[in-house]
Amino acid sequence: MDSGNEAEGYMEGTEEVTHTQDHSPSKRGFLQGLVAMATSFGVMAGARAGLPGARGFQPERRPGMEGKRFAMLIDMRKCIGCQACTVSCSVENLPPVGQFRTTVLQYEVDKPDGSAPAMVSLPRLCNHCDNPPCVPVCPVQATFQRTDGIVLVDSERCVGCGYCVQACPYDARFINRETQTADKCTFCEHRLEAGLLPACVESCVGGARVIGDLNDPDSEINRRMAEHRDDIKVLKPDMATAPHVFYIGLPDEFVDGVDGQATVRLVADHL
Amino acid sequence: MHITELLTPAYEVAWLPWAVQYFFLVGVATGAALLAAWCVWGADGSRRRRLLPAALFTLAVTALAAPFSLLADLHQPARFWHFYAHFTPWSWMSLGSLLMPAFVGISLAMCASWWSGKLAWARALAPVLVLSVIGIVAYSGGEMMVVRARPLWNTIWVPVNLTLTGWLAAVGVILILERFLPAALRPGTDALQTLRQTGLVLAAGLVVAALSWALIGRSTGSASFTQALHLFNSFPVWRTTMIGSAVGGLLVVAALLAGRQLMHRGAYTFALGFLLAAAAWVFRWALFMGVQGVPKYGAGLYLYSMPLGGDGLMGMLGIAGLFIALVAILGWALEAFPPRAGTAHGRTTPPHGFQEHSHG
Repeated sequence: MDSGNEAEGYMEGTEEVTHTQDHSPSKRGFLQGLVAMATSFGVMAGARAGLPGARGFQPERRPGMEGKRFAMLIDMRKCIGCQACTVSCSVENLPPVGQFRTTVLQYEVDKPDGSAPAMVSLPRLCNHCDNPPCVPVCPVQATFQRTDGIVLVDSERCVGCGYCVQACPYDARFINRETQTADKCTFCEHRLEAGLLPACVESCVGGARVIGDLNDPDSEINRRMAEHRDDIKVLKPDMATAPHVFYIGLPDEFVDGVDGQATVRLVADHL
Repeated sequence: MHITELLTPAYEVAWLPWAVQYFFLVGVATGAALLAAWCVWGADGSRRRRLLPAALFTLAVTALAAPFSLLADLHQPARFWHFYAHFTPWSWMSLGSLLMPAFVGISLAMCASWWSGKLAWARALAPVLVLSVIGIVAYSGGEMMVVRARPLWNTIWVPVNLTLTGWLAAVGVILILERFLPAALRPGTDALQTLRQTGLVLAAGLVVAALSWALIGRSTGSASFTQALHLFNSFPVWRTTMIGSAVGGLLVVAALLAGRQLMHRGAYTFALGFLLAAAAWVFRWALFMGVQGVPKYGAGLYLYSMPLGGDGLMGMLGIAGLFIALVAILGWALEAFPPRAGTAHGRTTPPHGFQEHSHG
């Protein structure tokens, strides 16, 4: 749309110039050339906006729970890194061993002032972004977003091309080794539909995870987010994905990724 | 502040070595297709026309083998028909599902026109083939370039470098494969010199592209260059890869230059061809498998251990086997059913061997 308007601007601007100029044939030819050039720029800009991968383009959302917009708030001050969420999610959703829809990353943070090392436990899951980069890349529309914000994968349709796994900036997706299709957190939408909490929220011993409807002004998530307005952060805000998993107590050093010493990683061969 | 990861899961690659094979083969195919489209318009007996059989042979082999590796890179290959049942114009990959079969079809039509002696058809197909090449180059490069989550892919230089290395590999593969053609169809030393010069131009373009990426990236602080610099400074494996690429690039240029006096030697053209193809293949390995090992959020690198089965070594060997089988079958077919006169040789005075084949 923007580029279309821009193109119109170009054209109008050039036409104005033609009226104020001396209409000698060579000048007219030159100005006609300018108009033609401006038009072709407009066409090019339009084509670029229509090309696959255009920033901000999202296919139409599919029907979800009427009038809701689900989101999760994670209060890291209350997370003790017990991995109860990891376990209950795995019990509920049965991903293959070694693959996780949610888990808690754990870090040791040493400050130069000689104080005791701090532990950071960072719960991770799909961010159910408002501008999910994983959705438009899918070549068969197997992954989609619902009107309630939940991003899902139709595993019957998914061809397992792995494009959405690449497109997610959060490493939140994986190819399920058993189904050979893309897999991810669903906010336990099957539980939400039945009026239950997602498994990770229900099992969180510290009450660090809160799920709720952002469209409901009285929801707990809205209340808590209003209380801590200044301390609410999301992961990788520069990616312009508008994540809908919000964090309280996320250190700045963890917002855009972790620059640190890697853990000892084991090859997943034995799995 | 020093951060140490204590507990993070292992993330597996989503694009398997099949993707490396596919992007290699399709890069070679587009290069061979362009060369064929150019050569088919050459005058009878010219160097260009003598390069035509080798270009078409390479095109046929790679255009037939490429879709197999593309299909195998899907974790659910039997569901490929979903691409057509749920066409998605806003996804590059979906566009590719139309562009790829069209390219293969046009390429084979070009080969068939040449083989059946219909030069006018082959010439008419040439511009269509060029358009199709543009489609393949745009979709395969665009597909990677739009992945903003991976800064190393999210740059215009990825499609540019993929294209140039692919075309350079086409020069290499033609240099290797021309020896498997029936004697009458082989291009001969002076035509191979033309091919070598094409290779030099491409190599020069590649050097310019790589330097532009680095210089523009450095001055603008582009995300891809910044991440590459970070990888270079932090990880010996990336340092080795990048220094290796630079040395490899110099070797390629040196080997192409040295070919000026050496193109009559079969061993040299084979070695040169192998070097060009290997450089393009290794670039793709680093770009796909290496970059997938770079965490999008966490620290360090993810480990990749190549499985020995279909998802890894056996898959790559299988595609290499398919390639060799196609070379053998098509090479034999050209001996047994030589192309009709008119397009086949393009020589004003056909050599003895050719007469035997075409009339014998």
